[in-house]
Amino acid sequence: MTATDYRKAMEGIHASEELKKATIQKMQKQKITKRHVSRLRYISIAACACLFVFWGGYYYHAQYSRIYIKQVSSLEISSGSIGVQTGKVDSDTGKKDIFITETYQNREFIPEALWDTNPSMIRGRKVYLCFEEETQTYYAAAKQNGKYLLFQGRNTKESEFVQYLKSCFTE
Amino acid sequence: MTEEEVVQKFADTVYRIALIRMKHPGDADDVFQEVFLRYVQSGKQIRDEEHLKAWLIRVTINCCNSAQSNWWRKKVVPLMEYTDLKEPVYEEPGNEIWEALKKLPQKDIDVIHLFYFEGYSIKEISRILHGTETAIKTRLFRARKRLQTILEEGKEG
Repeated sequence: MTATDYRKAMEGIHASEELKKATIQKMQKQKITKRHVSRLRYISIAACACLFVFWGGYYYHAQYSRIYIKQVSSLEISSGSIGVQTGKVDSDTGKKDIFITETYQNREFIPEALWDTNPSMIRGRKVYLCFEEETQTYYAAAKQNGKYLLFQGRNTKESEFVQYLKSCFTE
Repeated sequence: MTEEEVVQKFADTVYRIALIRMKHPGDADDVFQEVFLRYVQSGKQIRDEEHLKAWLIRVTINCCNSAQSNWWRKKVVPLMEYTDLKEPVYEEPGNEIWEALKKLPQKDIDVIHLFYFEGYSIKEISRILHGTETAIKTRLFRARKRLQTILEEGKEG
């Protein structure tokens, strides 16, 4: 056998036109499917990213900035020791009459109504918030370094009071 | 190059290898389609035609290997063995070289075809088949001898 014999024998082999046509059709179909799949992939990635962002937002909200404010009566809030200054009082220098912070060694000095509320989360810390309508006063209780803190905000807005609490927990 | 152009240009190259490797036109058709579908899947944009040809040859050989080692294929028995159905008629080249190639081992077919028909050098074949030049040279020598023996036996018979 010579190389020419082999070449001659092989030259007689051809792919049929039907086979070529069918293959081209399949290739074009596959290309469309591939394009759809890649588009679907991008959509699913975007959907996952959105989900992650929403979940992250919810998680942040739940863990760091969840605010529940319970409406309480003056009777409920005065059942504790408010008004009897047994602890260390530290009023905000700029807003002397608006915000007051009291520090206690014992939890019992803080009205029980405050501890009964759903805990809010401010800067990742559990804070119990109340609003007393009669005197337009916001109250907040929290535990920090083994001490109990009672915050009061008079004639202020909710957002200002929360802002004040945030500033207290950053320091 | 569009898909159609690629098929038109390399159809015979791919089909010949698929046929001499699979030894059956029906199986060769399957391999042929598989190779070009893989080309679309890979998204290859090869400007150099020679490079594309070498890639297609490599993929054809791989497809033939996986088709032959397929678990399903090994377990399948032709329907004709159990029924009265007749085997479909395929057009085979039907010459003595084709008959001799059928008796050759797969590896020998690759080197003989790439060397004698596609005109690749030993170095190029070694690159396509991922072997050393010495191994390809030895394989080609043995394959040529084996093919010669088969052809002579055929003539004598």
